[in-house]
Amino acid sequence: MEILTAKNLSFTYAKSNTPALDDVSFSVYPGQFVTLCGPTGSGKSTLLRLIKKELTPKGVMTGELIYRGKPLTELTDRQSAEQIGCVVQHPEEQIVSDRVSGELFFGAESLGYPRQKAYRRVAEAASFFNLTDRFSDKTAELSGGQKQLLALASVLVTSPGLILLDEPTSRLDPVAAADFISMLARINRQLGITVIIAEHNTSLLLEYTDVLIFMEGGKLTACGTPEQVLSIRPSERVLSDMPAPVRLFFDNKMTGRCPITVKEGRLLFSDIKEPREDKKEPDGESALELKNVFFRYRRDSKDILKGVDLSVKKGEIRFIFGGNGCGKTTLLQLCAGLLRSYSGKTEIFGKKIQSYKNGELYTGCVSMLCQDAHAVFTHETIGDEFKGFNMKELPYDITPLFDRHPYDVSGGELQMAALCRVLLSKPKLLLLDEPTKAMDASVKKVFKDVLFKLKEQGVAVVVASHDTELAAQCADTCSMMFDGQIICTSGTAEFMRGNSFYTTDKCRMTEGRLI
Amino acid sequence: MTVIENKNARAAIRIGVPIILTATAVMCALFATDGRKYAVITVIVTLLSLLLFLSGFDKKRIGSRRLVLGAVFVTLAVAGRFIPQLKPLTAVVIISGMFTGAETGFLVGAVSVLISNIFFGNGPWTPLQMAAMGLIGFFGGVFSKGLKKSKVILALYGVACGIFYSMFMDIWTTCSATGSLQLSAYIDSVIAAIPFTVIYSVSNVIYLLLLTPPFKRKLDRIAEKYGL
Amino acid sequence: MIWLQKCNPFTVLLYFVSVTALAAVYNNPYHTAVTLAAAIVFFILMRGKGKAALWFFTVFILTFIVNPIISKKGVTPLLFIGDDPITLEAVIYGLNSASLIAAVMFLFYCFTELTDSEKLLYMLSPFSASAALTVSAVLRFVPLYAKQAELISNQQKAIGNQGGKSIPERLKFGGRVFSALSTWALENGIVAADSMACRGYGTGRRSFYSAYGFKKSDGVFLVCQLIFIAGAVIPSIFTRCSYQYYPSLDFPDVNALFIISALSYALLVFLPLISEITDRIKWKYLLQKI
Repeated sequence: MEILTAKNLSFTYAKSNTPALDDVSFSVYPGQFVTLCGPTGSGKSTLLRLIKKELTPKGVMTGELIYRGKPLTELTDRQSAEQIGCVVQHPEEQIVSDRVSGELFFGAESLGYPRQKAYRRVAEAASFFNLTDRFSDKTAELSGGQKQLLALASVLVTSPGLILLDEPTSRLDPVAAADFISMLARINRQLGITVIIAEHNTSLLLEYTDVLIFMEGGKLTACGTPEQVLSIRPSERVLSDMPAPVRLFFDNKMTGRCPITVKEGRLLFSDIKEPREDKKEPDGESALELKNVFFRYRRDSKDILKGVDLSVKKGEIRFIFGGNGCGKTTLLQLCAGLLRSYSGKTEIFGKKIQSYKNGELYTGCVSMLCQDAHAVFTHETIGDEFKGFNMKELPYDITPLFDRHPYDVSGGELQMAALCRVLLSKPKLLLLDEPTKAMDASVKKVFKDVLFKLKEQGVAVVVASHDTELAAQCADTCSMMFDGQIICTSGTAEFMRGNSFYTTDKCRMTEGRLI
Repeated sequence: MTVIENKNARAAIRIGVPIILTATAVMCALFATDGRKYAVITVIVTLLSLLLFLSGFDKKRIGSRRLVLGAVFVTLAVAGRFIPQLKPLTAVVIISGMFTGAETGFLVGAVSVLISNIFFGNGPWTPLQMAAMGLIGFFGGVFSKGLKKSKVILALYGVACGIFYSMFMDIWTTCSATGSLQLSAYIDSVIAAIPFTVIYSVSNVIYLLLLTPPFKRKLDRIAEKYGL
Repeated sequence: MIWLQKCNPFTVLLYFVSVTALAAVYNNPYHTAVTLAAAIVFFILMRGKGKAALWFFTVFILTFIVNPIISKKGVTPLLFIGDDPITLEAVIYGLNSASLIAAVMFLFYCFTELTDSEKLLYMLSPFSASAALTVSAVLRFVPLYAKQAELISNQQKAIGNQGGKSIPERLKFGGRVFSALSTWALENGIVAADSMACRGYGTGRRSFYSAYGFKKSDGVFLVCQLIFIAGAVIPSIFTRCSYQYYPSLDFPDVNALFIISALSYALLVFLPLISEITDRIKWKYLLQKI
């Protein structure tokens, strides 16, 4: 019997005229791994929120949602909480206890489980997720990936039959994201728990997926096994978010079975050849020059930057890669003059950073965009932030967003608005910290165009990122950072070919012929 | 689990019990113990009434959103207490009472003090401060209609809270320093504390007038967006 | 004070409350001296911060000086400031209150150090699950907000919004960060609340599980405390144990009952220390046997 069935499901938000979900029908059987795929605003989150009634927004719903043979509305609050688990995209905010143990016990406490049952469940979950040695730690001490795993573990304590996940890896770095997805696959395969996951980047998911659902504009455009769904070319918008092997397959108009993993692609693409065109490394004037820079927060803490050497030229787009905690963010903050090194030289356009006085640095010289674009906006509408500035010279038109509240727009839109705000001071050196985290493929394309425009104007751009694919498309040079040092720097193509982890899937599949 | 169904009766008990208990404490202190062991009894009785008051809330469920909003207010209030002399804590507590209800207001007031005292030093005075600040938040909720309507009432309430808190804590100051609570000594310490009371009341008013409109807008937006 | 750390938080709370309450009730230099001595020993054993000790000492000195100057009671003048006498009684009284306040501050410092957030939650939750949950959420939020506030402030600086260094400009910048922080906090609070609702918050009576059981040693500690409290309190019903300062100094009669009461109190105060020492010896012995 189906665990969940949607029949002609439509939903319109309270303050909207167009339906967010339009006549959606599908069935999920117990133990299936269902991937909902589609660009931002396609209705995947709305669908998940309708299934979890605690999260259902205000609006009008028509059609039916049937859970284990009964309408979902007949489920009591308790049953819904116990049987349907939910993990959302914010690793920080969905954790409510200050200790790992408290978080794990939360569900059991809320449902008033007897002591023994609660302990048994928590013990099982903690062991399965390898959290036993972190059991009494503070949640604030966990990394983003660990937090998200904790959120998943704490949902499993009530042993739900169905887990819903709304873009759970969109805020994680690739290593943590891969960890999370493989754990999710383990839960699905070993415990038989049904999983419905919405995600726009599916490269990690397809190999575990039993049912792949494409959504666009609130409509369900395809539903079936990945093989069935990918037997015909999906729409351009959906395809742009598909993993590299799928895109390469359709871009080269190949026929047969579509590969979904690097492994499968490697065989298939063994004879694709394309002329190498290595970009010239830029050789303009120096924009940013760091020599043997050391930094730590306090005298008695340990060094975060341990002798960084970095040189970026005007008109250069530089990507910096490296695992979490390697010092990327600290390095950017230091270049933006927000931190001071205790040893070494930092020069911006040939002038020592210390000699920029009274905000001189931030007018027409340096600008930085941090990881959370919300930090840019302190007013109640996006437009308020741009008051008194000339908008004509911006590389991207954001006036349509002017009346919106910064928390009412999608992550990608907000990121673009923040980028524009940061560009208002006409910086010649732009520092970006993980700018593409919340972007889907279509926004990334716009973002890339903006970077190219800036490059033409001679702006130097330094991006700390995990997005190798984006780097392959627009970076001139890439650097790898490890343990507080820049380990290597080279032209993008050479960089991608030389790496086996920090490289693109395309590069892996074609053994460096394509990047 | 709820024994008393009538809403007004419950409210009466919730407000009445602590007031009666606190009054008893004052009586005990003044008459039964020849004014000597006043400090100890005040603290213990306040602690008891505080716990009674708090446990009264658990009978009535506070929804998850209201509870988290309370926690958000507590955190903001605690963060504000690090600004020396000018303490937005009271203003934040009043605002939380105004917009999230009397019960949450009490909770926010009491817990804010408890948490900020982790940083500023807990002591026998903690229950007293908790009760005083809790009541400030509670009545912020009770009078929310008037407070939201008029800036004058808001300012007056700010002053009233400043005076109330100061005078309430002077009870503790007097009895811990002199070991007894004689009216003359109490009046002396109230007079001695006037400059602080004035600064405190004025800063309350400023913070209230400054913080209430933006918080109202933010909360209205949240309420509309998520349907609280 | 490893031994106290491992005790059930309620028995620890009872200890601190009963010790301070009895010392305040008797207001007797003997009791004060015993309490202060124990408090300082605990403070040293717990490796208390020198800064805190300095602050307590300042309070001690201030209280000690202020009382004789203000108080006009007492019959034995030591010296005159103008027409106002400084009396022996007031000096002794000041010394006693100052020591008592210092002792209470030292004790509560130790208590705060002993009571981490988990113990606080454990003690709060039987009375109010919502208060306990609020505390837990706040403890989770504090580091989170600190991080976000720094992020906002850095970002605002990096787009040149900081302005100058003058006080009004700094306040304005602070207000801007606080405002952005509260918008962020309220918005993300909803995510936390939804996450709680998703896991069944509010569907029924909440239970609370804790790692703090009631061990045999807790029972022994509790019973000992109760015996000593009774031993200190019951005799005082029949004989005066408190000290009289005014109009003239008068130590209570040292009779058998007073001695019982005084000894019981001393035993109560030093109970954790005795336990700590026996515990250390026990562990030394345990390790040697292997």
